[in-house]
Amino acid sequence: MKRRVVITGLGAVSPCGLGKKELMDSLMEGRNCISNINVEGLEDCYCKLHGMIDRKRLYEAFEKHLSPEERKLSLCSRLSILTAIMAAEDAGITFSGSDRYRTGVLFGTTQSDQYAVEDGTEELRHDRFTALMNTARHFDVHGPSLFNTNLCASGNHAVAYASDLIKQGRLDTAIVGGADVFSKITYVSFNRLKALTADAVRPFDKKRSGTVLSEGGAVLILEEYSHAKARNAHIYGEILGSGVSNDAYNIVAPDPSGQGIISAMEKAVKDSGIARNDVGFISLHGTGTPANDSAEMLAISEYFGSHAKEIRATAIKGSIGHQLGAASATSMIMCALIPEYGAVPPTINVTEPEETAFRLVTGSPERYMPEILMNNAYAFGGSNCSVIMRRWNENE
Amino acid sequence: MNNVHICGFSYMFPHSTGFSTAGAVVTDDDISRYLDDRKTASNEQISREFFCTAEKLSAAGLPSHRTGVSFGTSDGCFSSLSTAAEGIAVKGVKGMKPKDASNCTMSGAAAKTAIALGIKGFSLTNCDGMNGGLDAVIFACDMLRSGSADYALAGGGDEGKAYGAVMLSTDDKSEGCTISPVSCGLVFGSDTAAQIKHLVSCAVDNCGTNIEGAVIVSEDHYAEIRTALSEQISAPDISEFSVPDNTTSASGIMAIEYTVSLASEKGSILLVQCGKEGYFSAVMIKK
Repeated sequence: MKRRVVITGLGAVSPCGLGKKELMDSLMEGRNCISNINVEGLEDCYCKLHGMIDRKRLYEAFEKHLSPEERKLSLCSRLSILTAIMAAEDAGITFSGSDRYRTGVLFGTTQSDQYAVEDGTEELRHDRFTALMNTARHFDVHGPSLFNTNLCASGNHAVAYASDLIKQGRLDTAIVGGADVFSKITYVSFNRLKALTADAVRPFDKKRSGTVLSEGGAVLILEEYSHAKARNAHIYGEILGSGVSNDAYNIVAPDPSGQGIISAMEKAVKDSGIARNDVGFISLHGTGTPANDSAEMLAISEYFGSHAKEIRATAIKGSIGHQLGAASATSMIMCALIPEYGAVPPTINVTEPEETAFRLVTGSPERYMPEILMNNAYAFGGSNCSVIMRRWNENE
Repeated sequence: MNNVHICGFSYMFPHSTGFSTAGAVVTDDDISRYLDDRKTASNEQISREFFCTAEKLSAAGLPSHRTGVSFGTSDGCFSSLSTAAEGIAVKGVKGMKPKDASNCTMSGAAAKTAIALGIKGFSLTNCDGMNGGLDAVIFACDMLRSGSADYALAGGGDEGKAYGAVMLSTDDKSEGCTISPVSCGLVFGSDTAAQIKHLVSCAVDNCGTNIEGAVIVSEDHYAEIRTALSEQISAPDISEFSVPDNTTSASGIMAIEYTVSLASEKGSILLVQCGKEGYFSAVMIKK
């Protein structure tokens, strides 16, 4: 019998706040959660914007939820554990008995604890990728796991691979997502590449001039359907399938033809067993850089053709910035919550919208209940990953 | 599920490892040629070194959209990150050049190899430590078994250490041994023997064939894995693959080649690796 994958828990830490509600309420309100930063040594950066997690609240949450030993761990480990705790609590799940071996942790990141290279934290400099293992230790889970570093698409890659492992019967449950925290190197890198804006992130606006980096952790609990049903879990949606591709074009620029994006969407639609015309909503990667948004517009227009005009779409980086390794997992959480809210959050900061083939939701939330939602993510190096989710019907 | 065949190995040995291979080995001429190429000479160390290794395996005519690359590393582009950090500390923003930015991406080695070889099926980098190379192979196997691609270059390595790569294919005309993932998991805490016993049990259950022998790669858990295998495989012929000197994430690739040599004689060999970071990975290699 075909195994199905459902989403049963959501945990988010972002510049909007702590928890899924603060995230989604902020997105629905069109809040701008970006602020100015003042970091010693970075005074010459033309962009001084960043989406920082509120440190006071974050450390209070660490104090409340993490053990004394865990509070000594690296920042990315603590953030990952905290976010995973939120997701597990939301799912109402504990991992015990044989479940411990049937639960995996699949995370993605861009840099993880890269700050250790910058500030000389000796014990972490060569041990920067411990967040996954420390999260597994917290829950004492031992199933198949993978920590990928596919940068801005890494969260989607984690969701996609975990779903495949559940479908194949190698996992029943997975703790999946991504996390990244501030790194001077990455901040300066994006400045030097002129990929940032000094203004505001304006996805799909004619005046868009770049993105803004931010931080975050985003974790979802994925479960095999009968496992979730047996414990009467609340189900947000079903992961139908995914598709990956690679531009093979440039290490820091997308293929302007959008062919790699098309390939990922095409594979995801095929893997999901749906028709492209079934897609009703797309969570756009929408970084607000001229190159990214142009490639994405072209790809969606070409792949969906006349159906594109039926598709509602939004890009949340205007509100929360680009969370790098957490970005696509956060977008996946938004996809899971759209049916719960019955509306699509707006893309903010758009004053002169491009003539997109799809219906970009701007200004205010649009009441809409898509049946099929697509979450797109692309990364430096040309890695593309699309994940398709189906809205859950309570009567199922 | 498609069968995945092992079609060849390649390595780069910046320092002596003592590992003997039948695969292709990067020569000083290969490295000179790479460094003479203006387009690639400025790439960070890990990208240069992995590309040199992978290029030795890339046959002309691979279908770009049906080929993927998967790479595992412990430390990624650490030297580029260190240089960038020092530059920023001294000169602020001007301490880093735009080209340095592209050299500070953790997925750079796989991505730049994919760009250079025109690989468009998939590209994924993992940071699973010592098991990175084997986990890269397991991910690639999963992509090939599910039909997402037909060919994959999978490998592992770290700056200044050994690099290894293996070419995988679902082409049934291939004469190489087949490889399939049979068990993966995490080992940590106080009851590691029980965890390993469970993960080995899963591996044995999933092999679906007589196991003629096993190879273990583990400095920290060798005895526990050997005990678990001895309990669960009849007449086990178990050998240890000692991780060669100057080798980290490439160890899994070397262990696969060693296991292939045993499987070619005996039939079906289980390969188990458990690195110090706690990743447990097992694959079945069949003649």
